[in-house]
Amino acid sequence: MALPETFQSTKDASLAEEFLGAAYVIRDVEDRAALDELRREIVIAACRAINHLPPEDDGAFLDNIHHLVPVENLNALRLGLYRELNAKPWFRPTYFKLATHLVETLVGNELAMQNRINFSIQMPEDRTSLLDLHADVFAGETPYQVVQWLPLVDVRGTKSMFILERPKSDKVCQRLKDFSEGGMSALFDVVKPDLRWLDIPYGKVLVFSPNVLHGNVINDEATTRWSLNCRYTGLFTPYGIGERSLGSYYSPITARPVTRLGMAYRQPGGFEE
Amino acid sequence: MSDRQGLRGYVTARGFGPYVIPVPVQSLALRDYCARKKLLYGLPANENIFPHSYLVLEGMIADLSSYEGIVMCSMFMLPQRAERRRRLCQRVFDQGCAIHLVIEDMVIAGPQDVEKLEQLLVIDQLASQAPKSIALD
Repeated sequence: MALPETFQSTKDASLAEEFLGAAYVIRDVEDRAALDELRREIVIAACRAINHLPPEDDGAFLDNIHHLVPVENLNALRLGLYRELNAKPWFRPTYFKLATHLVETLVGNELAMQNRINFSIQMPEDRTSLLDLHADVFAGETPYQVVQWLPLVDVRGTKSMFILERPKSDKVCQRLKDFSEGGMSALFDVVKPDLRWLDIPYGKVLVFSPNVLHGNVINDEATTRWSLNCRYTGLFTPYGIGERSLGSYYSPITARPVTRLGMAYRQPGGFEE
Repeated sequence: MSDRQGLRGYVTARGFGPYVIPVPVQSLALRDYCARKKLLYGLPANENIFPHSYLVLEGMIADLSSYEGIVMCSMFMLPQRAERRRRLCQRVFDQGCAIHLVIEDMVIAGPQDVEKLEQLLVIDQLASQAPKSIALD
């Protein structure tokens, strides 16, 4: 139609509706070659850290890392990779490239991105990498953000993460006070039947609102979960508490030319009546 | 290896006692403490920011069967009400676990330690109410 009556394309409107309904969407990454290369770099860095030859099959190597690294050394490996990869100039731009359209459609095209991309490595039966039921806003983060969550291997069931979809999460969060005695574990027992365990094959990316309840449990699958996560928020939206604000936690990535011009503008002064 | 592996961290973005410590700095302190004590460090749970909420802490201690205890920066992160604090400590002890406090360098592992802890907290509270200066004339 030459004369549109809405501001959104049908495709974007349907994405928005899906996201507002469940608080998450799962899509194919927008640049598969970039994903494969990014994963290769992580595998090479991991091999260097544990003195292992680069494998032929990156996915199988990551899936089976628990046969090569004892759980006592897992956090050191994770932190080493986190530091090494986050120091690479291509790491965050490549990560963003995997879901640029998705993030821009959901959040906006002037964005702030988390300063560092987080690594999660969850070995089978490992109890040291748990992230219990929570919502990021409860810890003082901005409610205006999304998380781009990227598995580096196929994930499903307890090898993945769970999420409580939006209407249900909103409802239970309104009566959070009722769980003061039993805490989040009592809340978990109540919402457990409604949790969605996300099935995300390698090559797909999850974008979700961390305002809804989510988390993980002990991985009782046979293989290790590797995933990355990073947050985005609209550049000109309210930020969270000090340690989760612009500078300390977020940095601008896509300030547009007009914004730059606006920021550079200085009103002429010095006039006298 | 025993079924129990190390300490589970507990952090909060709220101020506690005289401190306001960013969560990443708390995590560093907890990790360093565990490394010094040669204890495995479990990723920390982050308390909700709402005042007087201990939902995360209460949830965390519901099942400590996988851990030797919990570790947090300070005694001031425990609930402010003594009765609730004592009940919480008891639930930790009942599971064969202890509470490690990094800044105070204390391990609360049994009722005797709770008494010491309570004494400290009471004195701290009283001291804060003491006059800062007294007119001498």
